[in-house]
Amino acid sequence: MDGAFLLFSSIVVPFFLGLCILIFSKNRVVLQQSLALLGFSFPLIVGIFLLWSFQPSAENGYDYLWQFDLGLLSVVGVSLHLGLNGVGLVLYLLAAVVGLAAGICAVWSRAKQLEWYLGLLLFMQSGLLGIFASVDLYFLCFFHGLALIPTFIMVGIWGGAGRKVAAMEMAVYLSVGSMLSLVGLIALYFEIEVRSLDLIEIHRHFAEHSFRPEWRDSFLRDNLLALLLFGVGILISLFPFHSWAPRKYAEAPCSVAMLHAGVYNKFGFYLLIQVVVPLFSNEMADWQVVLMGLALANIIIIGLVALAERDLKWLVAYSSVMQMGYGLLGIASMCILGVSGTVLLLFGHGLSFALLFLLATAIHKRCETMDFQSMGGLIGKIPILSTFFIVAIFSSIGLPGFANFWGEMAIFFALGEYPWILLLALVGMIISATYSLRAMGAIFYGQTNRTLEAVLQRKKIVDMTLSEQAPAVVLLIFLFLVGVCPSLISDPINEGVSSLFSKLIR
Amino acid sequence: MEVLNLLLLALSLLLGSIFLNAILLKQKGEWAAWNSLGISLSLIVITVIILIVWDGVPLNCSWHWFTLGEWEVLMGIHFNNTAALMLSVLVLVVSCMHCFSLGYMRNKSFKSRYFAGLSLLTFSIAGIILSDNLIMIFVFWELVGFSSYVLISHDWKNKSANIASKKVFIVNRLGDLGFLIGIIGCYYQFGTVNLMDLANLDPVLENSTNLALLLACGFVAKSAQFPLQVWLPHATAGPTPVSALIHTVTTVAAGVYMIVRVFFLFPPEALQVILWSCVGMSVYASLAALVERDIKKILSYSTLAQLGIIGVALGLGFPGLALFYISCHAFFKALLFLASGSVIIACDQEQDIFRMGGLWKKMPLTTATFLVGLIGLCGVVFISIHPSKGGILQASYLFDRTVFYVLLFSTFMTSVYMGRLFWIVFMGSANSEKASQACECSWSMRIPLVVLAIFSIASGYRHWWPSNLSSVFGAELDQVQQEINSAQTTGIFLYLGIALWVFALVSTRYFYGLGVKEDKLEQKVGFLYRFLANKLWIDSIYQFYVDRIQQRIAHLLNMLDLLLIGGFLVRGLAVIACLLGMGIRLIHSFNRNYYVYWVLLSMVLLAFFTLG
Repeated sequence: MDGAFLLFSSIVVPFFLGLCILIFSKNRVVLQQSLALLGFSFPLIVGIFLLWSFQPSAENGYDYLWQFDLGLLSVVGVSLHLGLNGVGLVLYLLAAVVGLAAGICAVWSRAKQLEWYLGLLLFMQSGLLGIFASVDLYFLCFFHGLALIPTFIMVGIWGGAGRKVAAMEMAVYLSVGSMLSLVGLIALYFEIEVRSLDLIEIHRHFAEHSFRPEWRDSFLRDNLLALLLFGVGILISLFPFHSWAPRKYAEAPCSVAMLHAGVYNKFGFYLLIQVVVPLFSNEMADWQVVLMGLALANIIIIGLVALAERDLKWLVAYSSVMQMGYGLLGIASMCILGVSGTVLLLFGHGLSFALLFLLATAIHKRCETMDFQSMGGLIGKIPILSTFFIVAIFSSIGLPGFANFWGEMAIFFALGEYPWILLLALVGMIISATYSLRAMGAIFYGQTNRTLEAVLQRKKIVDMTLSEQAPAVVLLIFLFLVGVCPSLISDPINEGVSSLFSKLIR
Repeated sequence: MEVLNLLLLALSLLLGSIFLNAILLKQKGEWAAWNSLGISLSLIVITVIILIVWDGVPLNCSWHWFTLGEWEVLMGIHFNNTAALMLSVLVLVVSCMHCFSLGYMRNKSFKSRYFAGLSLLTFSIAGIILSDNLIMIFVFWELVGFSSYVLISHDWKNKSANIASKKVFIVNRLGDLGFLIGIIGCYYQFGTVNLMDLANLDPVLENSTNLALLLACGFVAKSAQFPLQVWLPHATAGPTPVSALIHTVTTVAAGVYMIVRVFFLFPPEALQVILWSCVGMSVYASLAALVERDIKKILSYSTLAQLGIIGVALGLGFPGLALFYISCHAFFKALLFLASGSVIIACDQEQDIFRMGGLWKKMPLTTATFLVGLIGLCGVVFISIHPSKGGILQASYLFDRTVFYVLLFSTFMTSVYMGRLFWIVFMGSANSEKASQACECSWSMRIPLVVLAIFSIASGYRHWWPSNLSSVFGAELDQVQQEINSAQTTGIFLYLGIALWVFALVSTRYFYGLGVKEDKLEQKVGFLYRFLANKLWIDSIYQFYVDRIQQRIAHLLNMLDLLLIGGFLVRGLAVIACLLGMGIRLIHSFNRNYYVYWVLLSMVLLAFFTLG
């Protein structure tokens, strides 16, 4: 099979199946479910195949390139150009895995108006896959929009009590973030001579001018990076633009929270690694201190905020935001190892936090509360779910044997030249261990709270059902595989990062 | 290569056991127990075969794991006689614990999780023992922390177990912080983390004192030295076999073993730091043990004190002696813990020594084996000071007299608190309902006691160790012995050794009395008791930091985050946007007057721009 065609079809098929569900399968739940499962599992199969047969070209580091001229190529230099380099491949695989898990979760979620729920989720999935597979910046933003709009609708309709506020806040933040980045990219388009939004072309142009291309406007040259970083900073929920993320994760329906925390918030990092840092590597040196400081603020301040949190979903959400600080720290270290570590961490982070949101929702369903001071002793009542949760939270704080550990280790090794920053980053590890263990102690151990006991009695509590176990197992398997055998994805990461950064930095 | 295959077989058996117990046997706890016991016994067989087959030549082997950027991570095995020694002791003690757990876990829930945890703990320690590079050691290091957490918190309803498990993990992570910086420092300074490559470096190393002290942070946390000793006494809140493992061959031994593996990186200055901090710990802990009422905590403080003595051996530059003592200590301390576990079960979960008493009539075997452990701990094997502990004392006599006198005091205190424990718990008459109904436990809990008792006596005789293993400490022991002989002080040590424990045991017999109900020290010298019971306020300082400082800062930040950033800034922007919207909405209002104003305004503006 042609890899490029498979890549294209893996993006189109979920979208198409989503349309099918909306149009043809009203009130036929089994058909809806099977179509949705097909739509979610197909990209994963393709993703594994693409990982297995990945052979990047030596010239630009891409494989599976597939270009389709929509008639705009000669006019404005825009075409539907798909392809994967090492970084894109890993994140594409992440989207496929988390997508399948979120899909399984959604299929049996008993949401109202299931066909809309599944259809929108499939649109979101194809948008997310498209983000990491598009070479053309226009389509990058197009797919981002394709993912954003369903997210907004789904949070607003199927979300928790504060869904309206969360949906609005998220939409405003994310559109501002992506709009700023887009403005920056358009400025890039007009200011340099390449007149194309094709990443490969832009890279080539920059490389030919040894990354100091001629700019028409010196003001833009000096400030474009700041604009891009500002936009991207909002997207990756960098301190102090993080406040939308926890609320959104906490209010979103389970599958959306999984996809968003797992995949969608990697978009900003993807822009950073794929576009911003390689192109502006010379200018990035000035920003290194600022970025490191902000990343540490993310880690330590938000870590401490999480320490005072009493709501399980909010805790997981803050924890997710906090752990992303390590990703930024890896990029800010400005070396190949740090950036590779970030990609690895993104992979692990996506899987483990999707898992945590899945399990937190499962706990919420059973206990009808999220305040973990009023839980307790759950491990005696629902041992399987509790064990899954404990493993998941340990994987998220970097237990060896799971993917996150190697990502964090790589970032720490990359920081070896900045011992004080390394020390502060490691203090973050202790903070994360503290809040996780505090939460687990309150939720799973000790005596069960009286009111909770009553709730559990009334609901005849059951342990994890098969429809909850299946997505959790999918996510855990990938976390574990990569944790034990990181070379599965470290080779493409090396290819990708070295082709992006080889001429630039250490 | 046969040895290598056997080692890999042992590791994969353990790994298989984890998954089998955790995933397949979660409904069948009994099967999980037998499965784990079977695997731990087969590990003994494998280890014996290895000792027979192995020719004593160190074995190195490493494989490529993965590469990220220029960072290549290898996994490998480095098997030499220190590894062989630790591995043999590990499999022996672990098997005893599994056997004991059969009885201990009877009628308890979640057996499979417990035995999976035991397998994971064994696996991670075996990994530390065999690893050939620091990154792998760190991987297993973290797994030790995780498995300790799972095992200590096993009794999920117990509040103190819950708190203890958190404390264990977090304090260990605190030490890992320094350890990891040390590893990264090694990588940056020497370009490698492989133990063999590090050993072959030039002896003159710059900055290696800092590096060594950073690496020693790992030792400080895992082996519970100052200031991170707080977790060890709390760790006794877990099931007794787990406490026994943690206090002997697993967690605390890992720290010492790691230092021995990288001993060549330690310059004299770093050793000096370790020496003095461990000297202090040996006195501090043995005084703290004197005022403890919980039988397991007394043993735990005793472990701290013995670890201090082991640390002194490291600090004096005798890694072999340290390993020798930790091996012997593993046997008799495991024995003491298991015996105390039997006592606790017999007394229906009573842990207060003043509510026991008179147990020797009801539990003769336990009493006898406990006595054997006590003999080992006090250094009294057949009226000569126990060679492992004696070796360290003699070495300190030769190198630093101050250290020697302090250690002597600590050894004396060991006999005192053990004497107190023995007279109160086993002698006299029963002090509570529970203690009067005590009886011996099941056979599966008695066999390990006997086995460990035999090994604790035998381990003192270096000639009874296989030559592959005794080569670890033999040379150092001979060297110390020779110098002591040439200084003509052998006799002093002999008489001193006897006098110390005899005096201690006799004096505690008459000071405390047999099977008493109250602490005589508290009654007679109250201020001293209270001072010691505070344990230098170290626990309180930590508690103060966590409750008053850390948690308050966290709450403050959380509130600021919600109010300032989430509320003030974001809502403030929203208000601005809202006002703008209201202003612009005026354009579209249906009030005709407004249109007139707008038209006027725009005309003025138009005029302004076109004319001016």
